[in-house]
Amino acid sequence: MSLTEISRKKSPWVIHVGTGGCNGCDLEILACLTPRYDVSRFGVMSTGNPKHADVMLVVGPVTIKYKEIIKNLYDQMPDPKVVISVGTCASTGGIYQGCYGHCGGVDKVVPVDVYVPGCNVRPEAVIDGLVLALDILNEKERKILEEKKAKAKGAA
Amino acid sequence: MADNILITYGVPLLLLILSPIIGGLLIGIDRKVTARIQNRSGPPIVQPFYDTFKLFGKEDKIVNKTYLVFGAAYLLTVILSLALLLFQYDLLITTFIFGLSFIFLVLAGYSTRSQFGNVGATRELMQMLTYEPILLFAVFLIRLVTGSFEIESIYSAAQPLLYTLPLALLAIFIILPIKARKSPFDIAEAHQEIAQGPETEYSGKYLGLLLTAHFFEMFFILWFVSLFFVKDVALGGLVIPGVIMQVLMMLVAYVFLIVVDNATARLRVDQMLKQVFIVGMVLLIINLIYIIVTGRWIA
Ligand code: SF4
Repeated sequence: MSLTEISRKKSPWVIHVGTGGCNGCDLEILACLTPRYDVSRFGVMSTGNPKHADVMLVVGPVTIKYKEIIKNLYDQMPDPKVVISVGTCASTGGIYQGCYGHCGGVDKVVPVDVYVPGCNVRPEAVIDGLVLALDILNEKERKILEEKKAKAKGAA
Repeated sequence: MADNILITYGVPLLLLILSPIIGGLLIGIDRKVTARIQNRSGPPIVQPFYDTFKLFGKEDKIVNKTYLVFGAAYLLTVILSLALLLFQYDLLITTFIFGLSFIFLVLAGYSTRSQFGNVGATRELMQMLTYEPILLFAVFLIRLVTGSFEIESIYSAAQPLLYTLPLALLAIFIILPIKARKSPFDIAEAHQEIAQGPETEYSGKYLGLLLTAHFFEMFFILWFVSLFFVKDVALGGLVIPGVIMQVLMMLVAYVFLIVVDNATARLRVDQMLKQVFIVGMVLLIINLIYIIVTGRWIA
């Protein structure tokens, strides 16, 4: 593993997006930052800025008004990036299934890499999801590099 | 002679090369200590380096070319000012170039269309307005005491600056959190309110450059404070060399930064302007009067 790949695993910067759930999972994510669960020991830093973030934590089913915003946020994140859908309603729609104001889970709008189930989720589950996402980050970067190489070959 | 050259040029060069590592470690220790104070276990000490290396491996999202130039200029001026300080050049020019680096950051903030960047840049400008006069006044007092703007004259002065300018040092301690971008004066970077201030639009490598610049900055401000005690001091029969006193001064400033960072909340811009300006100026003026009355000044 190169230095960059090791560092990438050790320093995920997280942006937290609430899209219209009941805020139950938001509170659990905040609980991850408290002394009891402390995700900062993995190097996690919570930023409010998509341009600095590696990991997007999405909470809640996507309301129709929020659809554009979340797409915009996703596009602003630089590669490699992963999306974690936190909570049942972010993963499938949950108790909001079929509600008129929602368009279902997050994966209807942006590609999701890790699903964390639970209504509401336990902080341990969020940490588990984050650790899973870290492996995916490096895999994604490798894929992007391969694609670039293939493109360069095709052009030459 | 060869020995002399090694000491006058080799040691500063070594320090300049090591300074990003030292600065990064200091920031890492700061984060760890802060976490321990809050009863968390906190990130590893080398976390700032992980962050930087990660950023160098990320995709760059470039908004326009201007702010990239300003970001690079910011890094270069910070390195330049640190080099001038370490190689014992003119103190006035060193502080001016350090101020220039802040100006580049402000311009970088203004050159993007993001409102976060603009608000951050405005706040950064207000911070400059607050600390720059105090810093220049302090440098002027140092000139008054040592008789020259050259840093060498601090080393060759009869007494360490701490004995003649205690209140000026206090004023510099007050503006220290502004320069280190720490609470209560982390107004420009307030990442809970305005994303990251002037750094909002940077991503990937260019954000990594800014982080590196912060490492240099950290070392610069600590070294600047340590100039206040560079002489050997005799304690009883024991002679403590100036280098150790310098390291002690840096340690005091560093601990002060951590404690203040954890003990205070962020102020508003106008509160900072009023409080820091009034307190700092009063301290400096009292010190000026003290120097003039006791006749310690050199024309
Ligand atoms: S998964 Fe359940 S607890 Fe979490 S936001 Fe949705 S409805 Fe609320």
